[in-house]
Amino acid sequence: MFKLEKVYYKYHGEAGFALNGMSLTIPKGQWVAVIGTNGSGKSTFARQLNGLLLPLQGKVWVSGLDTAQEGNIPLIRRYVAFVMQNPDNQIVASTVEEDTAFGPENLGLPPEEIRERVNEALVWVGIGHLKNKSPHLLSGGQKQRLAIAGALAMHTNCLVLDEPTSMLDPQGRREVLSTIARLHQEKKMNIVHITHSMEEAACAERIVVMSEGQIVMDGTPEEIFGQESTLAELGLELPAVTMLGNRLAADGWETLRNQLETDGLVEKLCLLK
Amino acid sequence: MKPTVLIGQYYPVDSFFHRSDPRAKIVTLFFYFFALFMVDDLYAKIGVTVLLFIGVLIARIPLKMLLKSLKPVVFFVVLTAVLNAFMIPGEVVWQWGFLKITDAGIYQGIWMAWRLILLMISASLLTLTTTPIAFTDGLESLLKPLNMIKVPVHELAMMISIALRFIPTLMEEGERIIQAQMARGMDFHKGSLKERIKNILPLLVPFFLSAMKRADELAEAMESRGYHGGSGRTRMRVLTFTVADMMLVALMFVFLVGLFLYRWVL
Ligand SMILES: Nc1ncnc2c1ncn2[C@@H]1O[C@H](COP(=O)(O)OP(=O)(O)OP(=O)(O)O)[C@@H](O)[C@H]1O
Ligand SMILES: [Mg+2]
Repeated sequence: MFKLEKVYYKYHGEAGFALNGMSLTIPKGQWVAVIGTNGSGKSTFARQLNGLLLPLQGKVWVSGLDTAQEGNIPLIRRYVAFVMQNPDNQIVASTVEEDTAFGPENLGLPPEEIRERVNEALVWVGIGHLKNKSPHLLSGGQKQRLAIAGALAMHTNCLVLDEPTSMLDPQGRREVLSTIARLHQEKKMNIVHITHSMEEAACAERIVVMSEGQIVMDGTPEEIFGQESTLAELGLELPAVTMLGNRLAADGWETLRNQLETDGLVEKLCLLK
Repeated sequence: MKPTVLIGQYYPVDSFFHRSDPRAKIVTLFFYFFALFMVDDLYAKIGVTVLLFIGVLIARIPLKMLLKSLKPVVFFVVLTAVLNAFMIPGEVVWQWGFLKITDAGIYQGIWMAWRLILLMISASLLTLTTTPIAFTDGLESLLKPLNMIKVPVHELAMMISIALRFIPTLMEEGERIIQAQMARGMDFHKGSLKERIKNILPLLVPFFLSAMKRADELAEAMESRGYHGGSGRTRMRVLTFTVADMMLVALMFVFLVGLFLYRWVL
């Protein structure tokens, strides 16, 4: 669904390039996690995906549409929805249902259809009972699910999330992550999930590691987290479970190496004599 | 700790006014304001008072809520009464040096203050029975003709509704910044006036920086969600002007015309 070809981007007045010849293809329906240290260009990359930023050089295609062509932008915004880090700053309206309606209203849909979509989306993310509430009374996890409902009501097929859980408590993180997983499984949505949490990245089908505006590693979570030393050089860590397993492996329990999930590690532990 | 007693303090009960179209309520209120300023003799004054009283009964708003909405203007009410009492010429009832209160002054002062109270109560009757969204929708719809003389009506309505949406968020933020600065040893209740004003600065700077950042992000979020101004945009909630709404406006209009005839023709 996304194709980037040698994309360069520099912010106005900055010396270095935030994106430095980045090329990447994300096929339809894939769940990709993007990791990298602060300032590696993840958010800049995300903003290229719906034409909020346009490449200085190179091309970005969304479903075959060139983002540099202004006429494509309205269609691209229908395909790609955004969830940002701070849940408060993406809520527009003063009730939950009105906020969910904002996107479909911009599409110019008839009122009955908007209402139908809004109700369906709110129930799907599990906040249907809150639809008349004021958004500032919701928990962080509920606010991010409200943002996701806004995307669902647009009937998008791609969701780009830029650190959606970093301002949430553990409960909120779980809510949002399981919603993302369901979007991928049930709605077959394309997910681009930018995160600093290795545990969350491990849930994806594919991990892309960014550094200095380029892709430096690309592979399945098993492949990526199998390269502890390369990650360490980039300033990244393994998920806590993997790290624990690898420590034990270094002490002689070789079967415990490269476990990404707690359950997997526990299973392997139980098999030990 | 919820300082929601501000503009848009919607009071959720079911009443005729709660169900009315916001446009009908805005127009009715506008007519009522007009009536308040046209009134001059005692019968008319009693008339507008009784009319508001009926309105309050219809709205099913507890008296306590209405009195609360008067709180911010108590000072002006008293000031209006006192100033009028001293300023209006007439038969002197009390004198101290060059200060004198006249009978006409007392009468006029009481009426002016009472009129301010009627004004506030009638306005809160609108905000208490109308959600902020319905209110801005109604305003946008009523002002739509101004589009023809290039007034950005949609943009204005969007600005008001975003402002209403962010009032609670910004209040929470203000609270948080105050607490953060107090945790660093700042005391807002001590010191000379100059010191106190100086102490406000460390509050305002982070507050405005963060508000600017919010504005940037909100703009990005709105754009990402396909916002491209008012053209081609539809609404989920459609305003419907019913026969009852028409009756409301018509009755108020009849009252206004009656008042007009009573004053200038009869
Ligand atoms: N609005 C901006 N103006 C100028 N420079 C910017 C702006 N946003 C980002 N940059 C710069 O571009 C580079 C890439 O930033 P970006 O925000 O894409 O990184 P990131 O990977 O998202 O980081 P983080 O993990 O902190 O969110 C950084 O060097 C940053 O300083
Ligand atoms: Mg970022």
